[in-house]
Amino acid sequence: MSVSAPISVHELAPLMAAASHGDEQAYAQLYDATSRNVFGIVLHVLRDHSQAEEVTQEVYVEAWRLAKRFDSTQGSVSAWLNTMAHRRAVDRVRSAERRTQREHRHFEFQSDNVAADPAELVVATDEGRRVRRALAQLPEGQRTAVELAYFQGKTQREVAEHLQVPLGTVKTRIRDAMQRLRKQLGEAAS
Amino acid sequence: MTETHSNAYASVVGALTASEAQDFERHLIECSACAEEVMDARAIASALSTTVAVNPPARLRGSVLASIAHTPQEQIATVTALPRSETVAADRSSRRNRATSLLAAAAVVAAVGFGGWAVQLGQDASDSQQAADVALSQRAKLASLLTAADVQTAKLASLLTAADVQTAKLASLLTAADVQTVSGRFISSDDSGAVVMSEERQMAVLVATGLPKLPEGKVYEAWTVKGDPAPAGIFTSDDSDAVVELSDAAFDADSIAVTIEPAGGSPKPTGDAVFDVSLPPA
Ligand SMILES: [Zn+2]
Repeated sequence: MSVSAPISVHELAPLMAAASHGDEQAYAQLYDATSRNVFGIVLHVLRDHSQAEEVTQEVYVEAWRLAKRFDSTQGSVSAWLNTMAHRRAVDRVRSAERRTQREHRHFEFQSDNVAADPAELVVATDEGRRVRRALAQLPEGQRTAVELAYFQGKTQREVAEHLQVPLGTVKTRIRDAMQRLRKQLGEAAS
Repeated sequence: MTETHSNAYASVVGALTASEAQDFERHLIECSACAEEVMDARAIASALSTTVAVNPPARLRGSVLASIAHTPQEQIATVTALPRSETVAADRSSRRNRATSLLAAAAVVAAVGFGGWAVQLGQDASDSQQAADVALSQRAKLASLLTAADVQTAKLASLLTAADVQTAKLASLLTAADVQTVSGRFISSDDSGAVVMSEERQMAVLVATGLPKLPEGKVYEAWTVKGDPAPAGIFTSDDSDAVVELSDAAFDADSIAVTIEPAGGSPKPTGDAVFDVSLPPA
């Protein structure tokens, strides 16, 4: 296992700065500190191990290539990477869905290829526990809306259809949920 | 809240369709309230990933590190307006790399700075593929000159037919023996731009695709940067693509940059760069 001494989020920005000047070693450290979350969210959205590896690889290569664009005044390194990872995973799920719809084939997303339920592989961290508690405290409608969107990659329209509520309600639930989470998690959120 | 404002949180959790997301990215350029909201909410969305953390297989680390070892990093030159005396001592490349923003014009900086986050969205070249196929067959020769650049050749090739710079003129530029293409990316969108220049033909153009629509009363302004940025041309985003002939100063500039300015342009940049690209030393 490559996770050595844990690196706090505050140490990530200097590593990123070094990486942006071509320091591969700093980037390796950055990878060690952030890849669980990146791989985790990608795997959770895609539910396919080999695709999750592919996307994670793409994210880290792209982040390396564009390292100079990282701007610490705009957010943390982990937020930058996680955002990129989440978007790519969601893009991939959606284009797979579009492809399948075009082919009029019954859609089961790579179910053979899922080694295990990703939930069983989840690494429990302090922050993870804290965020999970905060999520659990959300009103159910809000939590479900966030979960369908963020963890399952559904669009707000799909969420509305799924929950059989108006689009406006979904928007409001997502906004309220995020604002509540922000209050609960405070500044410590990365 | 209006339709677009109301998409701020949905954008952060990835709940917008591609076209909604594109509209929202454009909206962010002009709406600092949304830009701020999004920045805050993004940290929260990111924290959600900690609830599903999974250790990646060990082989992935090696594979990532092997890939980056031969992946060149994009060099971003921020438009720098340092006093002459300060730049003389610095060598060309360190001056280019200095990440000094031009002005802290808060709204623009927030929006544009934010835009940097949008850049990594998966890129789908297929939309322009058909148009490009046509353009490629007609202009195989021109297009082949562009393949050297890592700008999407397809997009550029299709542009050549739409360009409002005379195609003949462009063709002469592209076939010049000393033609050089330097590509870069727009910071506020997912799109490419390139500077194509030939000293022999005394012509330099900036080619841009997929430009975000600007708010009323704003234009894009190109700058040649050598010490102080000098105005190099104004353009709009009417059909989202632009071919802009740059001033001759491009030939000894260190970089070419683009900012968003009030209609009519400004004598000095008033916003942070939305695009810029370092030119190779002459
Ligand atoms: Zn807004």
